[in-house]
Amino acid sequence: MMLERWWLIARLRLRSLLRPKQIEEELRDEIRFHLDERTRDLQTRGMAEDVAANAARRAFGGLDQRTEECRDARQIGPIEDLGKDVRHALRLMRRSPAVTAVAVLSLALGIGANTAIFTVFDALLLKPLPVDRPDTLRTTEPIARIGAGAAKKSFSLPYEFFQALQRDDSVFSEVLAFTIGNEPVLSDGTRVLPTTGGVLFVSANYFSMLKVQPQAGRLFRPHDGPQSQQAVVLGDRYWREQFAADPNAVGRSIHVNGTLATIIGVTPSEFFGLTVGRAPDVYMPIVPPSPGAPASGVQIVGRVQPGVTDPEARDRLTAFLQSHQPVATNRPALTVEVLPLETGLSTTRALFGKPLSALMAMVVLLLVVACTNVATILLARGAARRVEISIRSAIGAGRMRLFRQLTTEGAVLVVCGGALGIVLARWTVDVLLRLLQLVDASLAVTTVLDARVLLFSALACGVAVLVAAVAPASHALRASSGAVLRERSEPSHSLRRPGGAFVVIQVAVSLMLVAASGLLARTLYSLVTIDAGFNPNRVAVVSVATGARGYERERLVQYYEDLSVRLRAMPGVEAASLSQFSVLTTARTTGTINVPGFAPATDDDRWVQVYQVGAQFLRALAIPIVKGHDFTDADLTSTPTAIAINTMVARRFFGDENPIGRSIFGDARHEYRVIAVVADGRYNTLREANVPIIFVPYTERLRERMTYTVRFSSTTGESETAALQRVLAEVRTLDPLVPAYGERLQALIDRSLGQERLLVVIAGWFAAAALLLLALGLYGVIGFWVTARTGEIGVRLALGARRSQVIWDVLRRPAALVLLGVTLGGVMTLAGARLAGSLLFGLSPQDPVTLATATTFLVAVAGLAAIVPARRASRVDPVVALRCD
Amino acid sequence: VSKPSDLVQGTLDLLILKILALEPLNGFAIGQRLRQVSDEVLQVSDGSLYPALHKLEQQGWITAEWKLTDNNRRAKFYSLTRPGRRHLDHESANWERLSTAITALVKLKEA
Repeated sequence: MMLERWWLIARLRLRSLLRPKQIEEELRDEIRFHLDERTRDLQTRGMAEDVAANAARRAFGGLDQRTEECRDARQIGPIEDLGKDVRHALRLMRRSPAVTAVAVLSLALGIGANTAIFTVFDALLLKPLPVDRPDTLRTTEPIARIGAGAAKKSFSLPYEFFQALQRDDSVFSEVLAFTIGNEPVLSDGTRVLPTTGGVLFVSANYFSMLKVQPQAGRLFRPHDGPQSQQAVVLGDRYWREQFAADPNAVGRSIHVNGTLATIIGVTPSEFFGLTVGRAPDVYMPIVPPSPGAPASGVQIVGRVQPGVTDPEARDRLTAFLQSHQPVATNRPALTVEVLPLETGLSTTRALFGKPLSALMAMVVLLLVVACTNVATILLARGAARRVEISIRSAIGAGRMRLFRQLTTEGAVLVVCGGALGIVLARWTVDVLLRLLQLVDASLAVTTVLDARVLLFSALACGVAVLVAAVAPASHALRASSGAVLRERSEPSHSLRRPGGAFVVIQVAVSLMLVAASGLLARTLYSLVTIDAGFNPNRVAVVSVATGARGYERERLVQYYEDLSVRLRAMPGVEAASLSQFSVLTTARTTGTINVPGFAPATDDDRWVQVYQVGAQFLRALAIPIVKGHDFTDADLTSTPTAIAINTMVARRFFGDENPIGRSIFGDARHEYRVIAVVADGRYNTLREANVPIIFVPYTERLRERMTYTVRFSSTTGESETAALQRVLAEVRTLDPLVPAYGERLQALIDRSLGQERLLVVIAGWFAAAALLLLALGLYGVIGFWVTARTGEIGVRLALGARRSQVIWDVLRRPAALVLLGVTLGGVMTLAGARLAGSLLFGLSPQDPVTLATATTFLVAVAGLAAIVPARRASRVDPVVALRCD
Repeated sequence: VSKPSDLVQGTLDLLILKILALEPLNGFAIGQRLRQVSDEVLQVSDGSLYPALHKLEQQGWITAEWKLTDNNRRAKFYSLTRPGRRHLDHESANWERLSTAITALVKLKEA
């Protein structure tokens, strides 16, 4: 009943708004009908027609007044007023297109940048996984605490443990397992299908537990029996890129690492597994390890039983694992941490979490700059319109009505800017993702302009309205209260020149942005110019995946050695060697070593990073040899096994003694003999120094993927790219069926600095945008102040004031405001920079040089923006100025 | 009564609803009916009827429709909505209680 009534009312109101003319006509018709009827009625009682008509009119009472009362009944006044205000605001905007353009573009920039960064930030860091009840999912992370220190190493859990958990439901009601396939080679039988997302091996219940529905074909089911042929499910992106989204792809076969598999279905587009920022190309069922095979690790995810807290789950799982651990290993006892999985696993979060948070903070600051910029402009315009406002209020406009009108003016600007910003954001998000993919090529994020993002944009607009519309409006009203009309000719010192606070805030926040981009730029510079401990010039790195061939051990060594010989024989090659991965990739191998007579303070001291290398490796990377010699072919097969150590290992294990020729014992008391000590280097990331590293022959443990490092002579004049192409061609000549990927080492280094570069680029844009806005804002606001004081300046010039005095007088207040803003901004920068400490390198967050440079730069820009209107003021013609009042 | 006082205004709404509960009518006819049923006691000026009608319409108690009259003229006919009927029941119950109380009070004074 209530609803029915609201529906009736809403329909009427809507009609009143949309059909005002028709409603007016109906009102007129209704009253005319009444008058006609009454006239007829009176005529039947014997009145003459004209007398009757007059009488009818009299009987009706004040015709206009009654009609107006009927209109009032419609109660759409406030909405009509809003319409009028919006039209008025649009008229004003059209009247000063320059101001409008600056304001709308400022807001579009602020809101658009915020929307774009938030879209990516949300997708990578905040958004819940698009699966069934993600809040009840938990991931398990087995952690071994090594020694007393904080050093943690995480392992994957044995598949048997997953099977045990499936039978036990005291902690998890459901449990799934998955593991990432190692460097798969996919082909459709005729050509290799490039893969960036790789293969994800999943338990049979993976899709059903997450309630993922296929967009084509079907997905794995928990009770699928053994298949006659291997089955695979394609990821949405891979299906689109490699199969052109062909629905007939289902049923076709592809080769995965040489085995034939049938495509049974495609995952939906919003699904990307449980790891945010990754999207597997292909899903395959986990193959349970055959008895006796080495335990293979899996990642286990469970749906926690209601009422079981995470600490309880951790304790139970840890106890459970310890009772299930198949054979006592020499590994320390594992604790199974239970972590929430609502927003997904966090490999990309580790990579992009901090930079994106920093960008998010900076982009919010940029919005503040944009809003204060618009606020100063509107304030100044409000001041220029004081007379208009006083007149309106003198002839009876209510204060609330005026406030609403002024706020609407600002709000219309915000809505225009916001709409434009959201359009720009769609495009900016793509650019941003491209930039992120330069850092992490396999990054896969689906960003959509969804309700969350729009809500955020609306929030940003709300802030903008508050700062850029409400504040200037209330200020304009306050300024216009009292006898403004009389005040017109009073000396300007008593005039309130609004906007001071906004200028201060704008300067302060801009300084923070400029200083931040300065800190990031200097960080990048430090990293680019750092001595990495190897020489990347004229070096190519080429990785080969021999897994495709399925070679036995001897044949594999034969292949690697043949390739080494061929590469070393190429003209222009100074040295060529191989290792299990290139420097500056995220991969690393670790192990523990013992030296007789060395008693480690903690167990952690025995951990070293292991590089498996071939002959000439040190020469190929130009790693400085402190003592001893580079690996030779003979060192690859010698007993005890040859080993090279870095200075850090030498100092830790041998002190001041000469390590050359001494023995080192590895796992299972395998003996090594030291052949070289090399200088410490930054092989993992350029940021990471002081890592204990050993180099051992690659033949120790053969791998199906190796990376060749080839150094070219600098005398040939051949470009690095051309040389790289020759190497790739040589690899293909040896065996065309071994896939090879290569790049210049310098390119790899550039890529490893992609995150820093990205931050510098975006922070630089933000800083430039903030400075541009600041300059426009200052220029505008000082211009308005000058206009407001034209009369006074004219008088002073007429009385003989010097022009320089006038300039100084105009600039005094902005200069004070800028100084105040710079001081405030400096303090805020020093306080805020500490949060960004871990993003920086080679300098302190409170680096005085950067702050001083940023301040100087900002003051210079502000000065330029201020001097133009100030000079204009000094050229006021006294006669003209006096006449205009 | 040219401009009804607050008491009469509230009463006017009630009377209009009551009249419309019987049959849909146009504004003029409502005025005539008002006079007839109250034996000319309640004399509502023609003009004040319309703001009242429009207000009731905007409140959702009555709804309007353009129809032809007996002598073939287009007129706006008002009729009671379902919420309006419930509102009328509620208001007339109120009125009865009030008038009973006032009648009792007035009689008390006479005695």
